[in-house]
Amino acid sequence: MKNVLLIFVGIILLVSIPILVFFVGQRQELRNKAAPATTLSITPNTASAAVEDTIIWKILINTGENRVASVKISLIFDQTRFEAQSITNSTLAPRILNQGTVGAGTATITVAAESTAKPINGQGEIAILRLKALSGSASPVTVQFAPDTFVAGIGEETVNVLTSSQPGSITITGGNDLTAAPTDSTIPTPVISSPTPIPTPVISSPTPIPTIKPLENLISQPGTPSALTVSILKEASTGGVPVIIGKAPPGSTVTIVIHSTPQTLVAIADENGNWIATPSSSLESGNHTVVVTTQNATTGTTETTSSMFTMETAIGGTESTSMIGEELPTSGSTEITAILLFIGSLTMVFGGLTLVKKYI
Amino acid sequence: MNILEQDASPKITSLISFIAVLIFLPLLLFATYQSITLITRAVGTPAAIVVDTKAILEPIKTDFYHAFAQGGEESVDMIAPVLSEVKGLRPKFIRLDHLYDYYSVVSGSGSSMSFDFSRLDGAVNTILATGAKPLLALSYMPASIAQGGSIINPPNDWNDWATVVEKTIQHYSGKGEKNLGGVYYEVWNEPDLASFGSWKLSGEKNYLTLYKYAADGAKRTSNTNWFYLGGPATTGLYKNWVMALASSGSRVDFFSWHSYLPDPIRYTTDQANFITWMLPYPWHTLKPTLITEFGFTGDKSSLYNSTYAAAYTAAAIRQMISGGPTYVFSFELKDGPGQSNGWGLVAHQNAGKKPKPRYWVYAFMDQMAGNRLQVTGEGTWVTGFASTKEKTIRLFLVNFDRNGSHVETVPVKFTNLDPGNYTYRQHYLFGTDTTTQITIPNTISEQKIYMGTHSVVIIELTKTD
Repeated sequence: MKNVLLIFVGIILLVSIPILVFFVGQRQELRNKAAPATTLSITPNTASAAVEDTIIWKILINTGENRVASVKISLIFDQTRFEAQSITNSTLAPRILNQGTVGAGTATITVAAESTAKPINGQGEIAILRLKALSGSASPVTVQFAPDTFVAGIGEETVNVLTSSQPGSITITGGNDLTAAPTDSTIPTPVISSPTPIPTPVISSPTPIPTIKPLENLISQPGTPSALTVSILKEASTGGVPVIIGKAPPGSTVTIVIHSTPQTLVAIADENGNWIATPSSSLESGNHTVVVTTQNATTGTTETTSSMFTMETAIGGTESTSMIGEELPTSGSTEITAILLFIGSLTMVFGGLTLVKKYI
Repeated sequence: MNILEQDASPKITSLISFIAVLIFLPLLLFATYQSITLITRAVGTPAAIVVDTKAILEPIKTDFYHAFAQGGEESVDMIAPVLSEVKGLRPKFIRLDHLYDYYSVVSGSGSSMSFDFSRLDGAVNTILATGAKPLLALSYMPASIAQGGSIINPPNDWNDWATVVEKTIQHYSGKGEKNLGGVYYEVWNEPDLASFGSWKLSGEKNYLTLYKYAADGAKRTSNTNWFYLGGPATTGLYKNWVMALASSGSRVDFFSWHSYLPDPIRYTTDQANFITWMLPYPWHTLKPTLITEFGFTGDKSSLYNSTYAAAYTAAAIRQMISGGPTYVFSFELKDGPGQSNGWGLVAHQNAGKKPKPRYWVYAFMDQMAGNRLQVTGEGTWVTGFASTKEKTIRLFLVNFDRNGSHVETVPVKFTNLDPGNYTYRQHYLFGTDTTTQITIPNTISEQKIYMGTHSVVIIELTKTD
């Protein structure tokens, strides 16, 4: 009988060990998709600079829990204050996907991680912008992110994981003070393909829009709990033209950029914070990402949220939208892990009790 | 009234007027068009180059343009007769197509299909002997498995095509066989072109099906070195093709297309477009992009024998020097027999194997290795970039005018230099190479550089104390 018990305990141990090893493995692999949590900011290398000085601006990222593949950095500034000289990548983003280009009041570059196995993660510098100061200013002048800035995450809840961006500012001393021209007024505004003042959208569907539809009618949801939200209204979409709705601080201006062939729209949130926008032309079939940005007029800080959708028929038919999949699925499963944990624990307890009964 | 007016009736006068209008109107339109063309040519921005020698940007890669494609001018190992000339290009990759219609690899079909890689091995061995790795364009359909025996048709059985791809990859990348690492396998060549099948993205000749079965074949291989499978190798960068492949669900390790673009600036816009389109697929943005054929025209042209082609190549590489593709393949290595206006970098052995002007661009540009420096003031015709390595600062300039006649004297300023003595070198490709000793008392050095038609130059400043 003792031999039988020993064999039985041995079997239990033999079964328990691989189960526990497997469980540990599952725990290690278990990773839920992270919500968008990435922020961008700009820091000048000095608090003030003189006219003719070259100012080096560091473009910084904090990815939070996100794993970032690439970042399209689009910057705007007052061309009467600064002359753009160059923009390049920096340590945390070792690759350049699109070469840096600078123009009158603009600078863009797309930088990237080394590979999907080595994504951009953590805090650090991803790009460097060089601007030459042209004229003096009594108050600080800013360099800020344009609405088409895009932070592409890998395996996350939404593709664009950017949630907010912080502009950089500097005081320029000497030279002619051109503060008569308000700083922000000279910052180029994005190309607007369809300014969409609400609350009277042009929608072929008889469904009145101004009230936000209940959750079940929405095919995508914002990535972060925030005052800024975006959704694609499936019911009202017609002929390849989706209806994009959301919430933002009342009275705020909302910039909506639809990728992959960028279309920029602008809407103004009503007194309840609701906004609505429709592209001026139908979208082609395939995956699209919509990036929505609002800016605090005082601080220049922008808040961003994104959503993804698929246009399955663009022209000449009724479109349908659905959430797109991702190449890197979430590893592991909470349910399976819990079941295995329960079985493993039960087996160990049973084995332990057997040993206790036998020898004590 | 003169005699003509006296004799001519109103009807005849009207008729003559009508005929005159018919004759002269096209001439007037032609003259107007020519005038507009000339005015357009003349409109542009001259360069005024400023190099900030202390504004250091990213490292410059010089490998990416050491890639070359050989077309199917002959159904033999074309590179072997010009091996030493090709070695001189220091190639990293050489692309071959026509694998299955020129090298008798496949015979039979289904269970009786057999493979003989001996002839293709010869061509691949020559590529390896140049110091390069092969990029094998999996093309075209072996006649023995193709519908109607046509090499641009789908196979009778898609599984046969998967087997062909499997055996090819296993043969070259298999550790127990040729054991090559890092080989690129490109599915087909210019599938959108009528000559190569006019494949579409749907229907019976669906490229995505062709690709899927190629990917299935790749999946069946075992014990191989890492290899890349990709496409679509279209005649240009087409959004619908790359997006369809990106979202196809098949294994895609790289994206490829061909670029025959008269204007070098298009390489920048193409790359920007590709990345913009791929942003919804972040993992794809990190994959290699290959321009597996490039040039200023896809047609044969005697300009490929001239400095026009050299300047074009230099101007195109300048556009790709930062944020460009992983590799860009110059088309092509060698002319076909009897071609006087071929794409070749080297003339056919029957014509003396003479390198053409474009041949010399690659080594010339290699001198620019180092860290890129900030350059402002590029113009419409004269473009360039600068680098720094050890004690030497280099500025590369190219004057490319697609209409072929522009000349310019370019003011060049180096700023933020360390004062002292320098060796100044001005080295024109196909021109003079002069060296002088100069003293720079402050932080700025200024020159005027004459840029003749399709000239290419490197200016060097090396500190001597």
